Amino acid sequence: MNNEQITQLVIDELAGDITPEDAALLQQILRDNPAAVILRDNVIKLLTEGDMEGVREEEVSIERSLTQLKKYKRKKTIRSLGSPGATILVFLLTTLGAFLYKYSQQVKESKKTMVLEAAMYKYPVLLFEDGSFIRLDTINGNSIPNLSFDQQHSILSINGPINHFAEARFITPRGATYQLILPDASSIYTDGKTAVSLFLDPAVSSRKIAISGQAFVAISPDPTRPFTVDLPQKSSIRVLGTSFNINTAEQGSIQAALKTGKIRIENESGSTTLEPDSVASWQKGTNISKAKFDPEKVFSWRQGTYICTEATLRGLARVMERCFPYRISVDVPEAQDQIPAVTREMARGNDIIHFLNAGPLYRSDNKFTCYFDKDSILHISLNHVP
Amino acid sequence: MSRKLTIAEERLLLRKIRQGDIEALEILFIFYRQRVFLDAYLRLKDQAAAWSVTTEIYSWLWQHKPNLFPFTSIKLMLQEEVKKRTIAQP
Repeated sequence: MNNEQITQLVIDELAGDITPEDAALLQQILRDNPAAVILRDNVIKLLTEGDMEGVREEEVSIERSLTQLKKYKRKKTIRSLGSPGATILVFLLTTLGAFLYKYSQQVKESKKTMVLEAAMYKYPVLLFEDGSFIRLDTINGNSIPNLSFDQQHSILSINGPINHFAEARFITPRGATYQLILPDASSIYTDGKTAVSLFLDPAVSSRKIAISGQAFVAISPDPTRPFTVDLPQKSSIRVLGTSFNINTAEQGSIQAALKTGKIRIENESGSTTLEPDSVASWQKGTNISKAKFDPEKVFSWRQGTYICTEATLRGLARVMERCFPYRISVDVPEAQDQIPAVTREMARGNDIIHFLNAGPLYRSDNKFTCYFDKDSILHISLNHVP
Repeated sequence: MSRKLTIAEERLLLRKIRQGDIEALEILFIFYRQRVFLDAYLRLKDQAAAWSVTTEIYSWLWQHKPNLFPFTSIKLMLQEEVKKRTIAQP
């Protein structure tokens, strides 16, 4: 049994979805193969610790989920009983009423999730903790209390709790930037395919947001209320009044570039204070490194220019998804995408075809090719693959 | 989970999905989403991307429902879909 198969068994085990036969097989493998024990420990660690701590979904009652399925089966059985079955049908429907009601609530919830997923990264979305959301491109002016959205200039202003929620998550579509004005007058300029968790209540004692993607943050000074930006990999930034750029996917690193003021960055390995015109970058488990940066390169995305320097194809795809409103799929095995050799510049609002026709992805190399599928997903693949 | 879907139940679900029953797809989603998410996370090491792959697979199931015919098991099919999408994930 190879590592992939053992890993799948461990996932089954963690998801509570392992058959008695598979459980016995896994135990046997663990007894016979010390390497399998290490593999299992690593998988469990990855799926239960760090970013995944407490993330795994709560157990879903199989019986509740099966209610609908049982309904189909019962209907089928009742039909076969003929006319006397009508009485039984009424009885069953009555007794199942409560269960079906509960199930319908669950189905409603699932439908909501699917609608949200369909809108994700295609439209600007404000998402609340109960799973409800507002598609900002469908609202007019100030129709929702405490929320106004200027469609023409892509400015979202929040003045207080929305629909009784004190927190929300703003998710931007691919290829579009927005300005988000918080209740304390701080501004966040969000890049495409970026998520910002934010507070909605202006009276909040501790101002806290979280960013995944790229954003330029201009904090409104307030010495009595510190401002914290939570970032992936258990890192965070504490600020008073300042402006800085965050990119949580800069060639595999998190990058914070300070324009004005002062910020303190903390991660699992330590902390550092950043001075203006400095950039800090770090990865999971590494120390924070500091350097000077080229503002034209780091801030250019706000003017619509994206400069991708010495990136892998996956790094290029991440930048392209921010610049262009298309999903990019890199169909090249990771092993063949290790060389950071792609240097390209792209402009938001330009046709992606124009960008693709402007030159090969790799300088003087026609190893890779691009094509759109019927769902308008751009695939980057090896040239010999049809 | 308290128990697994039987092969007969899986086939019934697939038949319902092929007939355009969104609720059957939702049942499938409820059963397997955690497993699919864990599998995707293990390959991508990124929660948002793993959820994106998870939901994408169910959208794909819905879009390709006429071609969903019984195979070895739904679990193996989902496993293959995760693998395909995580290799292609930027």
